[in-house]
Amino acid sequence: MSYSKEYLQLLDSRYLVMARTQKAALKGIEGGFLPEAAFITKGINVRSLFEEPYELIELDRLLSKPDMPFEVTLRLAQVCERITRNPDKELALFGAESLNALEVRYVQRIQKLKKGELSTSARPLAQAQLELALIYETRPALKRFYLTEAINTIQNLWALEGRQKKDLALWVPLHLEAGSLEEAERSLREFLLEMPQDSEVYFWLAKVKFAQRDYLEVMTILAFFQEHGGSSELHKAYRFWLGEDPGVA
Amino acid sequence: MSRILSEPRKFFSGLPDIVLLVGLVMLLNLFWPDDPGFLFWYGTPYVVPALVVTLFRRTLVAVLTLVIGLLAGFVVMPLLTNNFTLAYWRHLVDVFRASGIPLAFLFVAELFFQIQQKNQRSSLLGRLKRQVKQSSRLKRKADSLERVNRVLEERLVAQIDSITLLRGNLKKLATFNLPQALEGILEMLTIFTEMSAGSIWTHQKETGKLLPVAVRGERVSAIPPEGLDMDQTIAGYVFRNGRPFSLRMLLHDQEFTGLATMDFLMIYPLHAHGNVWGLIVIERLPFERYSYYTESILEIIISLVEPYLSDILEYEQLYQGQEVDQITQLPLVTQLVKNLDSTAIKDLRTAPLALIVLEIVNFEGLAQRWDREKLKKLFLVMREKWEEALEMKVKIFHYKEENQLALLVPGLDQDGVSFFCLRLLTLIQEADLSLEGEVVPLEVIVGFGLATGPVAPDQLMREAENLLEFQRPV
Repeated sequence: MSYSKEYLQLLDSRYLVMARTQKAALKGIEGGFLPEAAFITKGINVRSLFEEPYELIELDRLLSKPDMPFEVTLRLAQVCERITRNPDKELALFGAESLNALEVRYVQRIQKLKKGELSTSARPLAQAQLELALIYETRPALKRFYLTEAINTIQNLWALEGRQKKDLALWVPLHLEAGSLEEAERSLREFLLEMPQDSEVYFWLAKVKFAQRDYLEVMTILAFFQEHGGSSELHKAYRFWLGEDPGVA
Repeated sequence: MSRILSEPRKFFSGLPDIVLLVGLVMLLNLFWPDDPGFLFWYGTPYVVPALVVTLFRRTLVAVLTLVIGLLAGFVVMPLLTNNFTLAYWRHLVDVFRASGIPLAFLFVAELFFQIQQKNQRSSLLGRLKRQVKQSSRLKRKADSLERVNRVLEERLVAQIDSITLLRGNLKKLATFNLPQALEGILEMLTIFTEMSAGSIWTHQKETGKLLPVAVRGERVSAIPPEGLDMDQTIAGYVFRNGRPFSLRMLLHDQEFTGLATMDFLMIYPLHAHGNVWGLIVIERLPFERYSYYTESILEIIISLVEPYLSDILEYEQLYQGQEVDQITQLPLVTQLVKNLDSTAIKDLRTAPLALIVLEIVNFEGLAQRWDREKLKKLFLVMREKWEEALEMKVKIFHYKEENQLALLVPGLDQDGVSFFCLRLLTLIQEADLSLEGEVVPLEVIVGFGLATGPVAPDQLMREAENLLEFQRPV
């Protein structure tokens, strides 16, 4: 249903009251005196967080959820960062407090994970440190600190258990963010010595080579995927680099 | 029997009730000592406790009550009243023979009642089990729907490439502030392409080089301080030819051979009034984002942004002219006339043009209370309010007198201009027009002239002035 139809439904004179919360809206729908649109508008945020004017109530509601996926948390942090630059001091304070709440949540999680066993908590710890570093995008010193911490965590884990391919999903992004591309490449080459035809390792290598501006190497790796399997997305990327038609999306 | 043995406590928990009820009947019977067992009423009072117990206890307990009642009536009471004789027992047998059928009826009715109760209980239990199962299924469904809603919400709030967001960002470009607009363009590109470093470059006539006028993110490689050469770099090539560049072109196109890339991933020309005015440069992107999608998005954003840029640059050119008011920095009426001359020919091919003149009629009176310069600065407050609220581009000039302001508004018909003037007046009322802590009571009148075809500037101005004349106080 389009937004305008929902809005008109809500304006229908049969619906004399408007629920204030999603629970009340649900009860109203059950009782038959509110339309379904009432829950959609109260219970679910149907706008992007970036859309202005920012809905502070929605930001607050999302902030109260303790287990949001990282992508949502990052967007929330980015929006709060923008709000801190608002000329309205109260709004700026709201942004700063919200950002602080998100950061404190991560810091507490990191501290709790640090107390755990390295073999079980290292990966979640490194993941939390990476996520916090990405939230600190506009504060380079803090970002560098948490990236270094995360890299050290993975290194300590590898010292204990040996290098594992599944950690590349953390290892490579950490180095890409930190700008230590040579280190990332060196690790990937070592992995390739052990598993020469591994598509996942080559994919990460393509990312590193792209960041290093070595585009011929990127093409070579994409060509490798043409011969040794690889997802349709990688085949599309190969055709894109060759300047060919992208085909069906 | 097995239930009695398995749950004797439950079974015998009704004994106090039974004793009480039967005891009551026995007490009553003592008032009729000649009729132990109430044989006159066929022993019915001693059956009543059993019927009462049936309501609150199990069937077996009711049967027990009946047995105890009958024993109490026909054995204990005769013993107590010294009537336990053969004659009594013969009389008892006669009574039972007579009352046997009603008693039997009573028992059968009780039996049927109990069977019905049991069936009803089974039926209720069955329904309860089904309801519980259904409720459990509904709960699982509700939990799943809640999870689905949550994922949907998370996807919606985290989306950054929505059309409404694009529109919101484009609206911000409706400003006459070029640096702000360029920042807005870079912000849009950051959101929609996820670029982490990018810039906008323009050609500097004095040096003949390309220099950045807006930058976002950390630069990838060093740029010479004097700027980029127009002939030695790909950026210069793009500027000269108006042809976009994407890094992958280096792998199969020969035309860029020998030109310095400066490590730029993508370079797109930015046009204003049909000519290349500048370049949008994407310097750093995630690997996955370097794709057809990003190139398409860039082209779309640039095509949407270019009209705004053209207007801003035109407005900038206007203000670069020397004929501006020293206090407000707004162009003077001479600029208005020049503009009318050029605009009248250019824009009227496609859209009508309105000249709106605002006049503060009580300006002289207010000047006795406040400084004239400060009063003139109120025009700037009005302009700010209009720029914030209006979605249309308007050019603002001083008019002939210092209490008058002129606006050039394209694209409105007669009704449109009238409503626009009302809107202007409403916005003036809402604006914070105060000086030295006091609200300035402005009395504003407005007149307009509308050109739908080629018309001399004088005529347009005369139309507006005539309307003003009608409204001035006598």
